[in-house]
Amino acid sequence: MSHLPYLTAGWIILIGIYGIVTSRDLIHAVVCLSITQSGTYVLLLAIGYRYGATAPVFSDRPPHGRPVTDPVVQAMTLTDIVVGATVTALLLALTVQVAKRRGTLDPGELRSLES
Amino acid sequence: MRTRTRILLFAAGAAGSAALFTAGALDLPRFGGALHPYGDRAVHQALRESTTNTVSSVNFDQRAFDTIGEELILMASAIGAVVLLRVVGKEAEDQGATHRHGPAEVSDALRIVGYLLLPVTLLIGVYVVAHGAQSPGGGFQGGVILGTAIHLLYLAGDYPALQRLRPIPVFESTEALAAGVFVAMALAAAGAVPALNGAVGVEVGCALVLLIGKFFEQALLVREPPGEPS
Amino acid sequence: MSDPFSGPLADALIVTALMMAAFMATAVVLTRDPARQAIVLSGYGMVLGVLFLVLQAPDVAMSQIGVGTVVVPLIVVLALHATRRHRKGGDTGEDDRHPDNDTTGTTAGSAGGAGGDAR
Repeated sequence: MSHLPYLTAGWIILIGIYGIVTSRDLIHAVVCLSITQSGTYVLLLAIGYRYGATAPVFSDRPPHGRPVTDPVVQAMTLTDIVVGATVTALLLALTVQVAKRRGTLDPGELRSLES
Repeated sequence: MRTRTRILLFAAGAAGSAALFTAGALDLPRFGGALHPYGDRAVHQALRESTTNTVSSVNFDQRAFDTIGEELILMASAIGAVVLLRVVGKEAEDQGATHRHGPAEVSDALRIVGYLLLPVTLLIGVYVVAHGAQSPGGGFQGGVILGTAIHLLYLAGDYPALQRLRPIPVFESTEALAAGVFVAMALAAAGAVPALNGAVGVEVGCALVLLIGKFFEQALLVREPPGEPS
Repeated sequence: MSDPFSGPLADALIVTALMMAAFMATAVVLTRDPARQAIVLSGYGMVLGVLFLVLQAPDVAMSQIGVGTVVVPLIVVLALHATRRHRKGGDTGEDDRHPDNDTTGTTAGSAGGAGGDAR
């Protein structure tokens, strides 16, 4: 248990890269890239967790009661999720361009068409 | 490279990376341990500034510089995607493609649910942005809710209304303006958490409306066969 | 006196959420048809949101549920629709996909069902 969450994050990252390597479709590859990215969220939040702690919000309880989880890694993850979505959208826009120019989305076919 | 070679190469690389990652992870502090020096200092500082949501305090007060960077990445990628899609759309329109107006036949249940949920969702989005400094929430999450809420109108089958409610140029200028306001405020008055939350909320919302709107335009583009009266 | 935030039950909850996230990530990657993949991706976003909630990060969970279950799958579906026209015209298209689409699809479907039950 003591290191299982970190290893889970590693598995999610690795399976995403496996998907990109074996992908036959650029849209599938972009989705796999976003899976790889989500592995880093799990890793960061696992590092920030602490047993017996609650969320770092003090609106309804005294400030020096129960310990809280690490807010720094949560803030990083939070912004990255939203920014990552727009980057995924940018990649998908590029994919739409590729489909229009080349008429295919198979990475193997794209390589043979290069000129 | 053949698929087989590629998979073999990946297997070798993955095995090495997995071994190194596991070795590294086993040396990390135990999961759930009590040692969080940065977290403790961030909580202390947030309480001193009396921002009860520590995560918002880290984002918009203690690490506001960092958030400027994230903001600009968000704006740059949104602009990039919109420009790319505009080029594709323009070429297709020059070749005689037209827009089809979404699903004309929508069941009444879906239509009513769409219309009823729209104001509620917008209200929740505004609430999440406005209370970001006190309770879980903030500009990023509320912006996502606001940006997607408008597209409930498409679910209700009313694409023309959606287009009227969503004039692309207005959202483009608002997006740029909100990004500028955020950068100026973060440099001049980092720590005004509710105001910064609002600016981020407007910017994320506009970016998502633009992105989803452009993708909708692409997806609804149909090519009429030339010479056939429509 | 048992503490709801630590102890064996909290451990079991975290392990279950982690296993579900790993399982759904695998299901998303192994679903080769992008249209089906978008739906499985939506389920993965939800499971990840639950995991973040269990790890005491409500802000992150909120963001993940909004982005991961709505925005990204929606954009994927729209991009898929926008590219479909171009790939049908070319010499590659639906027919060179793997024939095991259906089996992966059903695996993913049952995974989504299991996720729903566990919640």
